[in-house]
Amino acid sequence: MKAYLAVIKDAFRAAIAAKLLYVMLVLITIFLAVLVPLSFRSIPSSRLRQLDIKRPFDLATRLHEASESSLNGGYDAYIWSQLGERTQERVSEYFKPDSDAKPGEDFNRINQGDRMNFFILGDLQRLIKEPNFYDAEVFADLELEEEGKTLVANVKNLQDEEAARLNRLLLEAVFPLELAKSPATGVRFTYLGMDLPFDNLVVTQNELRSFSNLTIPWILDKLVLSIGVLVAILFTANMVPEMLEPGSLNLLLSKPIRRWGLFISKYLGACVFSFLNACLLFIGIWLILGLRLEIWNIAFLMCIPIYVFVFAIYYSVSASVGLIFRSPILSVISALLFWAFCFGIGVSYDLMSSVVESGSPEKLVVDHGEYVKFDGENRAAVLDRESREWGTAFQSPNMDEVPAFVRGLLPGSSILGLVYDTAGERFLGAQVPLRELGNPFSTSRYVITATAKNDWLAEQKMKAPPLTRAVFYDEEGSLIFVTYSGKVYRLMLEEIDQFRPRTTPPERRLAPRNQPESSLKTDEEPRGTMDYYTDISPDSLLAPEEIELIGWDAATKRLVFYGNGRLTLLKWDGNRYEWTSRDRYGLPREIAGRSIAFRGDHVFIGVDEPSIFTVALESGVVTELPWASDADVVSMVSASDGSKAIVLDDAGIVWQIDPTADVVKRVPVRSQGNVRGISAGDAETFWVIDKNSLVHAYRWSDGAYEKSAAGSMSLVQALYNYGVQPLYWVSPKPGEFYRVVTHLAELTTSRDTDEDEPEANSDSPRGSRNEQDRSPWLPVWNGLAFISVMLMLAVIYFERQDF
Amino acid sequence: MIANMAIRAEVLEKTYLEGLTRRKKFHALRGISLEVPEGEIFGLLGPNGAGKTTFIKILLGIIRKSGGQATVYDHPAGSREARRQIGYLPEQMRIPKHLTGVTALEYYGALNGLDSREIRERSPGLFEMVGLAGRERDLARKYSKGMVQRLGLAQALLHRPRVLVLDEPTDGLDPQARAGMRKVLERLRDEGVTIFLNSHILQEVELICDRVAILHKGEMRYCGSVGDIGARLRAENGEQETFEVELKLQGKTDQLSRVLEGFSEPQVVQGAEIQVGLRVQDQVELDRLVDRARTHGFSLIHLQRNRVSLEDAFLSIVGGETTESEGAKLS
Repeated sequence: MKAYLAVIKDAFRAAIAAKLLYVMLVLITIFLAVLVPLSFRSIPSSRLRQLDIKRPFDLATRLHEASESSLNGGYDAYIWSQLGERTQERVSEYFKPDSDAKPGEDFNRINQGDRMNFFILGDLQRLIKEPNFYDAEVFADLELEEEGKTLVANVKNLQDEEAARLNRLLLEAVFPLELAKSPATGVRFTYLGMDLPFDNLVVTQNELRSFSNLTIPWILDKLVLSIGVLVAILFTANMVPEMLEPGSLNLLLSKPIRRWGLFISKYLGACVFSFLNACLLFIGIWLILGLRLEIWNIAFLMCIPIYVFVFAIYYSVSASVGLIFRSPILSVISALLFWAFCFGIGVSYDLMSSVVESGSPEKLVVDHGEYVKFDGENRAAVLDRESREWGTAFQSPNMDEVPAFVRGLLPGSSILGLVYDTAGERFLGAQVPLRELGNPFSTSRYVITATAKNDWLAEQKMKAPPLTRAVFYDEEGSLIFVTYSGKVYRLMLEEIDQFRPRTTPPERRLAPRNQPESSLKTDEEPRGTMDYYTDISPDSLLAPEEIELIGWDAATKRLVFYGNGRLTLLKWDGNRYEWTSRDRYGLPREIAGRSIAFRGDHVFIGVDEPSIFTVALESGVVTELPWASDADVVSMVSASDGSKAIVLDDAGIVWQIDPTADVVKRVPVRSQGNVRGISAGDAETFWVIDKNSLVHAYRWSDGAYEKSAAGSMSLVQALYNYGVQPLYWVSPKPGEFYRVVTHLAELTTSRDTDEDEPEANSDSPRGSRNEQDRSPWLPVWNGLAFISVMLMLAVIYFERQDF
Repeated sequence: MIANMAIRAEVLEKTYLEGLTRRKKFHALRGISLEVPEGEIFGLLGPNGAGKTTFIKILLGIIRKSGGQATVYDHPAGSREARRQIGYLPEQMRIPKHLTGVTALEYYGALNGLDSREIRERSPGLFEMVGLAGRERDLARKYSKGMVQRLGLAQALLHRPRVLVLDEPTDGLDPQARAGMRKVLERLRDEGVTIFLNSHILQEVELICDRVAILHKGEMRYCGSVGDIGARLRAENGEQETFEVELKLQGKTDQLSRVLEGFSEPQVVQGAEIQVGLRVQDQVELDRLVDRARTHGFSLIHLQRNRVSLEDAFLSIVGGETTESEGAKLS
């Protein structure tokens, strides 16, 4: 042991003799000296952020009501009077009585509402800074807490920041439900004792904590750690090659020590050197953050082992190459190449995973032998039964004008109720028009048809009823439309066949987003929109919150609505839908719904928590099924006779529900865990699509594999699945250690988070869903494995080599 | 009493494979067998590429043998136990430049398993012995080549090894230092340390070594005492044993032919003194020559009996060839 300690000591001695330690010390000291003047001071908290307005529409409503109130007094009216003219106009415009839709229902109104709220926020921020906002007469009766009372008592002698604090407290007291309570103090960053001049650097303690948990580890990782490791690699690159010089190596090898011990000791010696540097650097940063910013986060000290660990990863490459080639230059180059490799793999993985994820299916429709898949961007593809390849579908013919490479990047238009009309050999649905592409709030839809003969291009027909929520196919020759407001309409298929636009289809070009539909030049249809539709709604409409999920049983033409913990059955009486109080079924509690499947006597409801309920309509029995999944329900479909249903959860696992046995069990389908979509298929089979767009059929009766429909995975997908992804998982991730620190930082601080404060803005340099899914410890395990392999290879070489 | 065998090699072989694709064999050692008893100074000679350094590296475990056996005090050569017995001074000794004399001994001593107290106790005596006292705290990079060699000797002796393996130990040393080194080695031999010497400087070897082995192209051509090498050579060549003598005489030159009568090809240089060189069969013939010279009135001023030098023997064995090109890399 003494011998190996001597090697470590010698490595360190070499570093000191080469002045490396001093150079590192100077660099670190300069860095810390730049940080030291950064500090903060507590100020009375007054800043109003968007997230502080908890109920913006309620706030707007109160202001609007105040404007209309005949009473001139009152706090609301006073605040209304203090608002700017443009804000007042916006509010009045929004609440104009001739608006027929309710707030929040229509995209344009949402847009309008957002703009209004933005103006209100701006004005309230201005009022908070207004030193003369407080009016003793107006606020005389306002109930303020102790802090507010103290400020009011001193109102004539208040500093600007105190006055702003008082104004904020006044607003909070006037709008207790609409505005979030602010903490008594916030912090403002200073440098060299001077306030930093950016208003958004005034943060709450929570934000400061979030900053320390998320942003600082990221900065440390990307900047300090990367540069520090690079410098350390440069300085230590010569250690191993120097050991291998003739005259030095022979003497070392003649000593009674093991070769592997000699190499590992040299390696550890360099790591000890980097450890001392890291201690200096990170204890310095920790002290500065603690003393100057009062962020005493012990997780920062975790940066020390992590820094050494990252160094160890790079140095395992550098030392191994140094051992084999005996060249310090090659050592450094290899470390740099290795960095480039890791960086390249990381970037390729992120890029390709987002491409593959966006292109991988999210939904499957199998109807009468036609297979349709939708990806996360609503891009649809139909399976060509001959070539077994997927081909683009339901695109507007006008898309031909868009260059092909752009077309591939554009999201698809959402389609409701894609159903297959056997008589017309076509798909039917209600699609968002091209000009609303990418607008998530769009409720404007057109009926489309698409046939194989026409390359599955979407032929646009009449407008769908406003706020259409679901579309179903009635085999007797009609489409059934259900709207958000619970209205039900019927559209006869002949109407679709006979429909002819007067001139060209309304969408000639991509319209600017957010532009009201009415302002676009569209061709008039021959008749008014609703002239095509027959209103078959029940006399008594359900409240919108009771129409969270909509199910349809084609055989009996019955509808079910689920919402607010209640299921309502709508029966078809030949002319319209009807329901009575006997058609209502209550779940044990009010739970938000996720998916519904309805066939025969059984309704299957997947809800949050997650949980699955069955409702037997005949008997009225509601059963909560025991389900072993922790993942949310994504979709449910039931067999045509309603005897069984399958559920897909968010973890990509398919489960089968057997209502007679009250069990939910995993189905032995292929790609369990990677399933992305399910479809009911026919009476015998159901269909499953996996992330690689492969479609397989399984038997309803026992879940056994029946047949395959498609297809081959794309080249990009294959490259990702068999190349980049495995390479990424096994390769070390020295650039991702900030996630470990962040994870630890969150663990250490989550216990004492102040719940009264609004959630801190989570704007952090963290990435996509993919990144969040990865284990925070993955870089550690990968790194350990990589170091072990590299050192093992180097040691084997060293042990076997004749020198 | 049977002496302890410090080093033993039996049919030791080493074959290198060269080239990545077309593997070519190079035999660096071809069945070398030798024994070095404890307390002996043993010299290993041979031209470049003869396999001397290969032999030493096998002893030290720096390279692995291809065949045969080698032991150091009965421990397999290269094993940690064998290496523990050995102090090694490599050819072209190099001390890392950040080390001073003192820290170098600390470092190498620790590698030999000594604790720092032992190193501190032994170091001053060693610095004194190798002539580095007063310079021991200087950085090794400021040392001359000879000083580095001496520091190398000190580190080799630090753990009191039973076998000292020296690879060109006097390389770079001035004559005074060489003499000093010789004294040190003789002292160590007297203390029972076995010294295995690899040197190009044959005069050095002749002066100090009890026995030598001469390697040539991986084969051992001679192993025995330095004194016996001439007789062995003649015996190997089937020659009768004769020796050369050199005489300086004073007297009448006309009588000289009578004195030298019967000797073949005598070399005569006449001057104030008459210098004669000739070959005699044995001591009896030499005595007769001296008697005859005296009888004919000559005064004998000088008589020298020349024997075969190690260099002559070496050149005779290796045939004056060198294999620099083929073996320099491996020596």
